[in-house]
Amino acid sequence: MAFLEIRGLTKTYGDKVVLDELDLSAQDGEFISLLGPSGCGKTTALRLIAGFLQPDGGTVAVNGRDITNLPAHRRNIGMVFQSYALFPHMTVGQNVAFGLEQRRFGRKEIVRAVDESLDMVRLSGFASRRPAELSGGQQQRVALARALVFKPQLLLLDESLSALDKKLRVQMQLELRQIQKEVGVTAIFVTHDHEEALTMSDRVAVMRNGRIVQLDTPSNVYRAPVDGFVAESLGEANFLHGVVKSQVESGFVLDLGDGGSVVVSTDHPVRIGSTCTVAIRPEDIELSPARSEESDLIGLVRSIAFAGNTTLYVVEALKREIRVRRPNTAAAQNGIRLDQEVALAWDSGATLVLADYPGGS
Amino acid sequence: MTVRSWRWLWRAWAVLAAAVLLAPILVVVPMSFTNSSTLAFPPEGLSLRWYGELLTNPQWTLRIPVSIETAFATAILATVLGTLAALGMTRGNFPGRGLLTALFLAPLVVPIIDLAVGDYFVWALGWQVGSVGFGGGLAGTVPGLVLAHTVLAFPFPFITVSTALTTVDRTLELAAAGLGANPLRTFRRITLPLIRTGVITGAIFAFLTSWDEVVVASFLASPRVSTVPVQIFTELRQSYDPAAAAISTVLLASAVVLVGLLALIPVLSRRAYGRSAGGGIMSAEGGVAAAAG
Repeated sequence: MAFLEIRGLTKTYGDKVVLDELDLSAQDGEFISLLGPSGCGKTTALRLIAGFLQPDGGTVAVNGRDITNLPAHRRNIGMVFQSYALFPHMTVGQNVAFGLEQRRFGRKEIVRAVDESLDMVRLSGFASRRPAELSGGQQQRVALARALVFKPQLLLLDESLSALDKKLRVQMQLELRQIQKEVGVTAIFVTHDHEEALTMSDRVAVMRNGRIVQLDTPSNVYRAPVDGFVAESLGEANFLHGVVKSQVESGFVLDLGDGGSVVVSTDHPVRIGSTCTVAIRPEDIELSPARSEESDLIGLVRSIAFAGNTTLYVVEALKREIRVRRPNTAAAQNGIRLDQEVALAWDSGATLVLADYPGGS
Repeated sequence: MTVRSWRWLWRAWAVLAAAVLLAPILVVVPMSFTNSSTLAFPPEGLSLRWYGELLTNPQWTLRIPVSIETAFATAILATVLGTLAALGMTRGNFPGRGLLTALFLAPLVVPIIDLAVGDYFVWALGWQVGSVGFGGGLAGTVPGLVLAHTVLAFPFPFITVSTALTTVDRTLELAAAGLGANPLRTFRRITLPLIRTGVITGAIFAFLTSWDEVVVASFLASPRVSTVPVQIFTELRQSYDPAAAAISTVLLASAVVLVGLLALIPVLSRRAYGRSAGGGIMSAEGGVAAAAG
């Protein structure tokens, strides 16, 4: 039995099913991200686990104990909110001490634990400040210290980093994960930022319409998405829809129509003549000036957008637009210009075979 | 004329308007320091003898404690009830909320004389519906005055606390629950401190409502139990007793002090909460101003 066991968790508002029989289990000390667009039910799931909402069905069990009907204040779960929700009328120290006071710890013990946990988030000496006097990143760390100081069984993070600016966010991602590992607490992290989910998690649960579409390690959800939705949720992707023409060694040839075809490397069993969709990440596509007729795929550069460390090319090929992202290293300066004919190439292993793709090619 | 002189003209006009409005109120102040035995303006001589009268003459020494008791009890009762009602109205989600809110605000618009007449009959004679009875024997008592004044004062804390509650972030309460605080503790440690300014503002308005109330009090007063404002009215109808001016000055001073306290709340709470607070108080006062106006 896993440390956190969620079975058939359901929440409806009138006719709208926000959470549809969600199953999720987490091992002790595991860090799981719930990733999905707004309205997919990820925050609702978190609030049900915290006890802020009552489910219409299903159970939540932590460490073998069913807590579904336990009120929030008796659950022993730490939560960090998107807005941090620090108590504005209390000092940092009083904020962190709050959970310990509710558990009737002694005065001395509270002081020691508060010091320790402020030390952990590198805010020793801030105990007498007011939350309003702190920066966003500092407030975030206070919220984390407050959520962890009473040694909760579970740590819930609701879009906790999204209010920070990009640079600070990346730094906090690493810091948060490191603290979580040190403390060894099981964590559920809700986010709509796929990079954040991939960077931080042991496993990522991609959610859509109140369900988990795929739950796997970051590299697996990124490299082996079950469908187009997951592929797109975790980063940019080009989708190629076609008919399986022939089987080749360790894969098959996909006929894209209009005379184009691509070789797909996979161990997926496919039937010749069946339709199939594959996805290719923009960064997996090589771009070179078209030199001969031999190239598989020739296209016309329609737009070039410089994005700092990468450049995004939109290439028109096979009557569709294919997005290509190349790193801006010195070696990659191959002088490709607008309206130039280019050859597209990729490693046949870079193609991701999808079970289905909503909306077709 | 230049812009500058226009501005001075407007200022002079504003001062004149304020003077005209305030003069009838302020005229009692010099009159209370008179040495003569009848009220007159300008006052003759200068003495504190009428303030001494307040402390010795039983017609005042009996009334002042009644007024103070009634005003304090009204402030406490109206604030507790108003806060609970505001919590129910802003946090609850049930049908008929709008209607109930309108009922809670009704004392502000119902003609006060109707309320006084109704109170008088129910308080004095009692009200029997089947086996359930209420009132009777309440006229001429402090509890009777407190109950009647609480009805009048109730809308003020209800409004100020409602306004304050809308500025409280609900996730703070969720956070407190998540940290292990039960609903009662969450209210005491989180919600109440955050709506404190609204509660205090409401309590001050409730206090003042009772403190200078004359219509309902004169219906419910008896020769033994009566309030200061009722006594002032009675005095002035019978004689031009300068003690009435003295006690009026005391009432005026207490009102000024309390309203001054209101003006201080934002400063104090800003010091306490850091930079982010302060908006709640302004809006709480705005709510009262809107309701009173």
